[in-house]
Amino acid sequence: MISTGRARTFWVKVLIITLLFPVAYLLMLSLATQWIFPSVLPASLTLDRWSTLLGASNLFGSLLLSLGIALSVATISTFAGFFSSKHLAYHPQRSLWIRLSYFPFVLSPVIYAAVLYFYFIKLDLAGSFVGVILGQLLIAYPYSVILFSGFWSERIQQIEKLTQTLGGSRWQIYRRVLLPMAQGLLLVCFFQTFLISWFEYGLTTIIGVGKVQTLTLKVFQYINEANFYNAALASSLLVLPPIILLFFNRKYLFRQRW
Amino acid sequence: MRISEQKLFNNKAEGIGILLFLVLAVLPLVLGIIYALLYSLGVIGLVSDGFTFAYWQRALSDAEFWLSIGYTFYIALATIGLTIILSLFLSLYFRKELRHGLPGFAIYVPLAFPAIVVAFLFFQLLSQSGLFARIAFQLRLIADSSVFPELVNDPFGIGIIGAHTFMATPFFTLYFMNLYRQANLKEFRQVAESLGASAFEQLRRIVVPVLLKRAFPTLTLYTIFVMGSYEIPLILGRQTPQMMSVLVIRKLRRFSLSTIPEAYITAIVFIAIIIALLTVLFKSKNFSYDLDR
Amino acid sequence: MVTPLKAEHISKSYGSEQVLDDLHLQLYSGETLSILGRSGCGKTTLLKILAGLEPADQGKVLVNDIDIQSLSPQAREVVYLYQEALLFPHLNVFENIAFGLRLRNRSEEEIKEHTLTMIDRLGLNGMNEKMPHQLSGGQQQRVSFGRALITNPSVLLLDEPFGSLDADTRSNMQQFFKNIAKQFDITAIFVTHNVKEAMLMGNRIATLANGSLSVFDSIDAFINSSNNVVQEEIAFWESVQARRSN
Repeated sequence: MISTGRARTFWVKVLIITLLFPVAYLLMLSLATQWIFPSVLPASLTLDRWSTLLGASNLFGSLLLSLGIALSVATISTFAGFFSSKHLAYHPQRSLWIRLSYFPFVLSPVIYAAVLYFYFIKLDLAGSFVGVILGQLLIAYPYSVILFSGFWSERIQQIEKLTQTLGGSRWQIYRRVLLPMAQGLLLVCFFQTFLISWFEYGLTTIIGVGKVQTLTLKVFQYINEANFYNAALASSLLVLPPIILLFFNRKYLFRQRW
Repeated sequence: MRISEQKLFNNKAEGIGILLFLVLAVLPLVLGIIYALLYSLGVIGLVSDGFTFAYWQRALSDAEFWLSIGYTFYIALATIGLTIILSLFLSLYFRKELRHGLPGFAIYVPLAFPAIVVAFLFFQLLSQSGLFARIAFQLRLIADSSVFPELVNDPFGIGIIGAHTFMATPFFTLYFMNLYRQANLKEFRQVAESLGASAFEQLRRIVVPVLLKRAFPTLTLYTIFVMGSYEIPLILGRQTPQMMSVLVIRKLRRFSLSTIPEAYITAIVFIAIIIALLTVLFKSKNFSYDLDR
Repeated sequence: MVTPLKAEHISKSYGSEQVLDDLHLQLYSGETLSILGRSGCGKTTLLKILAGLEPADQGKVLVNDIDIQSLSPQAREVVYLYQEALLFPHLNVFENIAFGLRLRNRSEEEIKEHTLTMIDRLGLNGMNEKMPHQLSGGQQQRVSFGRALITNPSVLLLDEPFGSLDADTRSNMQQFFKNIAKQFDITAIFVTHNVKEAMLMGNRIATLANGSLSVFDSIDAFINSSNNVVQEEIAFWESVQARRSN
């Protein structure tokens, strides 16, 4: 391919702008006093919306709710997945189990929720905080199992047995050997399952019956009300935490989530 | 003599680990399919009149149902095709730049976007009163917002495909860059070069085939993921044709209860398609997610 | 006097394949028994059963006259060492060696004192802070021995411990093991497929073939036994010698 250095630099800049522009646009829209057709730029900017919505209104509540759900889902699915995947990986039927774990994970969450809604009602979990956590776990946990299945190698099994002969109890093997060795992967899994929950909309709106108002539901509600400024604000709240995290360490974000 | 008995699990921990998996990952899927099946056959449900194939007959003769299946495949394949082209280009052409500095950071940014925000963003940019229309207006390319082409809620799903591609391209760009390193493609290119292959031939005969072959399972999984997407087609799509996930929820939430069985039929067909695709994928030799040690 | 390790009527099969067939074994205190066998003859299976890591289909293993299956893994005092050093990648040399003491919740001073003494005796002075990937193969193997010895086990089971080392390091480590075996009064089983190594390391030698173990009371008895690899080896070197003198 022919390109001079200068043209190349230009195209790199175009690429950067394309990739970063959405963040800037959302922030600008959330700060705009008024921004209507055909203005290319908002009339003026204000911090009022941020202070009112974050202060008194329920958007702050949604932020905390999303955070609580995502932290619960990430914690449970990471540790449960780690524990399960060990036994699945060492089981003679290993390949069957790993194959099975792909189904709930790639299945459309919203369709999964639709066919399971009945059971959530029967268990009295529909529309509740716990119900939404359980619903999201049904996606995040299989992901965690898939992610960890590669960790449990023959070598790890040997190290585990060696630790046993050195006098390690089962709990000591986890605490002193397996968990420290898997530390990096555990962090990746935690952030990925956190994001699965943080980003989730379809399943949450069905299992939560619209009552569990996470941030993604707020975004949708504002879009429906044609309140684009508020939608942009709620969107910013969704997008900024992962971007800040990304700035400090990008390896946690890059993992296949599907 | 002690006869070693056949045990299901070797110990309690293994039992708990596997049981947890069965309860959280296998059982719900089975229960979900059973419920949807029973509902679609009139055995259960608010409008149930007893066992009948009537709902299936009605659903299968409904043009909207078939259109939705076709549309779902169309959106997913168009997205993945576009994504492959764009991300191959980016990962090969800007390989050096994307590894460090600001470009290296920027390529990750779209990964921090949930689908619902991407949908909102594309709506804001592409609609007839959106930012692009305003720019076109200011540049006097259009005289009125209604002249701006329909890019969202359009019949061809341009907005939907665009939004999905925006999400997928950075991911696959990074993925291809990783594969390039893992597969030692630099060395293979040098071998090809010493055999007389031009830069273009190296790409065409070595790099692209190797990358696509290695990425095949992930590309397939991503295609399935797009097929089941909800937020993006919900916000950027139109009433007909509709992607399957959107159609299911719409039929489920109509005021008239009579469409609920059809919603479950669509769901069952969708799940069946996914199971079939995954089964084919698992049979392919390229699938090597540590399935067998 | 108690017997450190005793195995009686051990049988084990995988499916239709009989790996070990009514096998007997007794180990005396302070000796090293070399077990010689081709790869795939069941050496590893035998060691795992002796370590209590795998149950036998039949028979029992006694450690200090107690059935190993009745003991919790912590109380068995039989350490099984793999061909690979298998050092914990997240711990440095000091912590790898101190590991067994930490499992036993020993005091900080005791751990420090024991571990530093061990490092000194292993000839690894100045390496405390090194991580496993910074060590050579021989050094890794030393750390692995130290990690096992510090727990003061009754029996060490060594599964081709020097198999992955190059020739020089290997003979070096063989000498090293002889020394520490004497120093620590180690009771061990040393499994290898190398005749010379078996003769060098063991006070007694046994061969494992077709699921049964033949134990020779001394090295001489082993050399003099008919139909064995030693005779082949001698014949080979004699033929070389003969060709040279022609």
